[in-house]
Amino acid sequence: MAVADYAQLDAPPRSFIEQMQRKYPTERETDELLVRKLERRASQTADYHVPRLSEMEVWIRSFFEAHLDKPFRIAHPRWLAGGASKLQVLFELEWEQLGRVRRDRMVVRMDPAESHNATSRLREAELLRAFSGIIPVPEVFFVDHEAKWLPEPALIYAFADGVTKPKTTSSGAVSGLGIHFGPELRAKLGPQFVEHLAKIHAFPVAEGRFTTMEPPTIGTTHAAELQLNRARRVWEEDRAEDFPLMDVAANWLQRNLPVMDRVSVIHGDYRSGNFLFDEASGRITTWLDWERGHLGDRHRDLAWITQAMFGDPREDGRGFYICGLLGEAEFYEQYQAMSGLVIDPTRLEWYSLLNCYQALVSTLGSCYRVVRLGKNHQDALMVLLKAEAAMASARLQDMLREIL
Amino acid sequence: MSDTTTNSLRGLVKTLNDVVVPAIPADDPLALQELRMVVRYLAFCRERVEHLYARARYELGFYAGLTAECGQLLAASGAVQSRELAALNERAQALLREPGAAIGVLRALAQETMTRLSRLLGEVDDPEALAKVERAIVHGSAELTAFDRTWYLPLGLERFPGEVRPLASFIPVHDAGR
Repeated sequence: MAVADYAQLDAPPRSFIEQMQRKYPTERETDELLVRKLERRASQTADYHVPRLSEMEVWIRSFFEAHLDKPFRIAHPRWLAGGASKLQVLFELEWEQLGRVRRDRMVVRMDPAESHNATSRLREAELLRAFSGIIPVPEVFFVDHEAKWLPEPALIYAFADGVTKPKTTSSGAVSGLGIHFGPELRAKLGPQFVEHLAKIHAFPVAEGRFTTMEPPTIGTTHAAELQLNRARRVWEEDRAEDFPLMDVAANWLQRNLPVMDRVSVIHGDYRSGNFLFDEASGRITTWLDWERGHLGDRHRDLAWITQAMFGDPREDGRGFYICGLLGEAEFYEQYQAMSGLVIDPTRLEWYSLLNCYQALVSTLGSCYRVVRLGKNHQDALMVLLKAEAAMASARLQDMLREIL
Repeated sequence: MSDTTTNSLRGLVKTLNDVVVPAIPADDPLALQELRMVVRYLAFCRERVEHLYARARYELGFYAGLTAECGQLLAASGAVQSRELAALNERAQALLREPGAAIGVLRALAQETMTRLSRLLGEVDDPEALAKVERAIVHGSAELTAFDRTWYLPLGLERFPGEVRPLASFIPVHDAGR
C-alpha cells in the first residue's frame, strides 16, 4: 500500500468535490462555502499576496462610492490583530445618514483567500443584527457578501472599545487561549459571561428570520449529524496525513448521534478572547466572532466553552477555570438558572468529543493546509496552533478511553 | 566543520527581538503579532532541530508497534488484514534496524502505517473485533499524545506543563551545551 497523496488537496479535482458533497451532507450554506473553498484552490493563481493596507483602502473607498450618495471621508486605516481567521482593518468614516452627519469608527472584517475556517459573513451579520439590544454586539453597517467591491466577502461593523484580556497578563497571547483574568475580574465577568450565553440559547429562533440558516429537526439526530458531517468533511478536505485516533472518534460519534430537544442559536466560538470588556468596570462591551454560528443543540456551545484549551489552571491546582472565568459546577448551575434550560450529560459528552475532534480538524488539518497554500495573513499563528493539536489529541484520547 | 544551526537560530531570535520587533510601528499590531510568533517558533526550532531524526524514528516505532498489536488482535478473530499488518510491522522494524535510514523514508513509512490503521477502522465488519482494535488504538495513543505535548512544550502554549514528561523519557537526548 502506498502513502496517501494528500498533496492533491491543494487543487482537488471536481470528482473529489462532488464526492465530499455526497458523503457528508451539511447545511446548505456550509455546503456552498466548502465547495467554493475547494474550487478556488484549483483556480487561484500562484502569485497571490496578502492584501496591502493601501489596497484595502482603495477597495473600501470603492465600496462606499457605490453605497453612499453623499460625500464621505475615510481616515486613519490600520490593521487590527487578534482573531485567528479574518483580515480586519479599522478606519474612521465621516458620512451622512438620514440627513445627519456621522463619524464612526468601523471595522472591515474580510475573509482571507484561504481560511482555516470557511464561514459566511452574511450569516455573521444576520446573527449580530438579531442580537442587537439583547446582548452587547457591534452595530452592523454593510455586508459585501459576494465580494463585489472587496476581493473577498466582507462585513463592515462598528468598532467596539475594550480589551480581550487584562493589560498586565502575558497569557492568551495566541488567539486569546488560556487567559488569566485574576479573581477580581473573574467575579465581575463570570456572571455576565453566563447571562449572555443564556440569552443566546433562549432566543426564540422563529423570530430571527434567518435566511442563511435552517433549523434542524427537533426530536431527531439531524442537528448532530450536520455538525459531525461538516467536521469530517473538512478533515478529509484539509488534512496532511491520516491519524487513526480521529477515525476512532468519528466512528464513535457516528454510532452515538444524540437527539436534539430544542433548537437554539449557537454562537459557535463562545469563549474568552471573543468578547471585549472595559478593564476598569469589568463590563463586557461586545461579543465578536460569530462566524461559527448556526442553529442547533445548545450542548455544542456548552461543551465548546468547557474545553481545557480555553481554560486557566486554578490556583488550588484542582483543574481549571472555564474560559478563565468560572468553576465547572458553578458555570452549569448559573447557566441552568438563567436560561431555564436543562443540561443533558449524555449530549454534553457527545458534543465534548465532537468539539475535540473539531479542534483537531482545525489545528492539525486546516491550519496545515492554509500554511501550505500560502493564502492567509496569519501563517505564523497557523503554525503555532499545531501545539494546540497536541493538547486536543490528549483530551480526545482521554475521553475515548473512558467511553470505549 | 561542525554544524552550528542551533547557535545560528539563537542569533536570529536575538536579532529579531532586539532589532526588528522594536522597529515595528505601533499602529501595525498585526505585523507585531505575527513577528512575535515567528520569533517564538524559531526559538522552538532551536530547541527541537537536533531531535528531528530521533522523533522520526520514535513515530515509526510507535506506529509499527500499534500495527503489530492490531494485527495480533485481528488474527485471533481470523480477519484477513492481520497478515498484511504483520508484514507492515516487519518492514518498519527492518527500516529501524537500517543504519542511516533517511528521515524522509522513516516518515513515509510511518505515514503509510497511519493510513493503513485509519483505513482498517472502516474495513472491520465484526463489531467485537472492531471494538478491540479501537481500544488498542486509543490506549496506545496515550504514549504518542504524551510525546507530542512534550515536543511542543517549548512553544509555551501548554496549559498544564506540570503534566508533561521530559523529552528524554521518549527519545535519546544529548544536550552538550549548545
